[in-house]
Amino acid sequence: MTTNLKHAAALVLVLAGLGALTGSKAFKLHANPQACTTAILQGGYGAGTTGLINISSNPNDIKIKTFVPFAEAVYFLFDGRGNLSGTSTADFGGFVSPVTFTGTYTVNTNCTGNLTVDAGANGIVHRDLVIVDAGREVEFVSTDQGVVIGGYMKKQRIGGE
Amino acid sequence: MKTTINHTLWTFLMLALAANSIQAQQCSTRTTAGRYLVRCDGFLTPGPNAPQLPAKTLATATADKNGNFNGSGTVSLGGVTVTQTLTGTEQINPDCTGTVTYSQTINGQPGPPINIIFVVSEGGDQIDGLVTDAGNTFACKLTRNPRRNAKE
Repeated sequence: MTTNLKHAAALVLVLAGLGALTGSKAFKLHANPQACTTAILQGGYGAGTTGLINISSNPNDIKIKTFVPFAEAVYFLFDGRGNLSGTSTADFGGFVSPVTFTGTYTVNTNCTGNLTVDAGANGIVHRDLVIVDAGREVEFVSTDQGVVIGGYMKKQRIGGE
Repeated sequence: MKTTINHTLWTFLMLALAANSIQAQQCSTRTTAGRYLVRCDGFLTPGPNAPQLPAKTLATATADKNGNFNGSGTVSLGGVTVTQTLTGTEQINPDCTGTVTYSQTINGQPGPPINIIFVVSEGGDQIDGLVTDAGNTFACKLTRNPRRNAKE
């Protein structure tokens, strides 16, 4: 009888302890290491981009009607050391064209960063980055004059990687 | 006697589970504690009576268990890029809706306050917000990283 009571009390304490741990926000938050380097971006990424680009020759002319829709499907290849390359299909106001590019990127310890892409005749592109999910996803926004574009990259996982 | 103890234990477990279930459906400032990726998209007015311009934001924000949000990031407004910081305290309801008024700086200079109404989902892993200031059409999505309630 005494043994049964002790077992019951122990079970209650264990269950209460588990409940406290699983319900504790702080417990899970502490498992959140944030230390990124260029190595976090390595391999192939698929990316999507949408937005608007100002076509006015006057940089101060920024009315909605001067902006043209832009969309792009992109393949990025990062080397983990700050260099990248890739290809894309870009749709600018309904005109579709293939693009190839090379570039560089930097990553800060807080998992933000930026990249610069040289797309030849299509120009130089700058983007700010936020890296999430241990490098499996990257969100970005363009920082070039006249460009209002954002998008995402997702790490390609081929063969169950 | 043994049966009575079993019944007592069973009742305790059921009450604990029921209480946990009810709690899971309610939000508080603790629900939104964590680090968020912030993505916003839409159209903003750069000043009173000015026409709307296309805009996008990419930022990170951190919220504490008392609902205090601090964020910083990049805003592309009409193709002009600025750095923005935001500070505000959310007012969150048990049904997981809420409001927040942010104080902001733009390129280090104070800017007008921003009022947002939001809905929390996925146990706080996602927050969808809408700017309610007149003249703006701007929606934001906050995703907690790492997610706490992800289904593996």
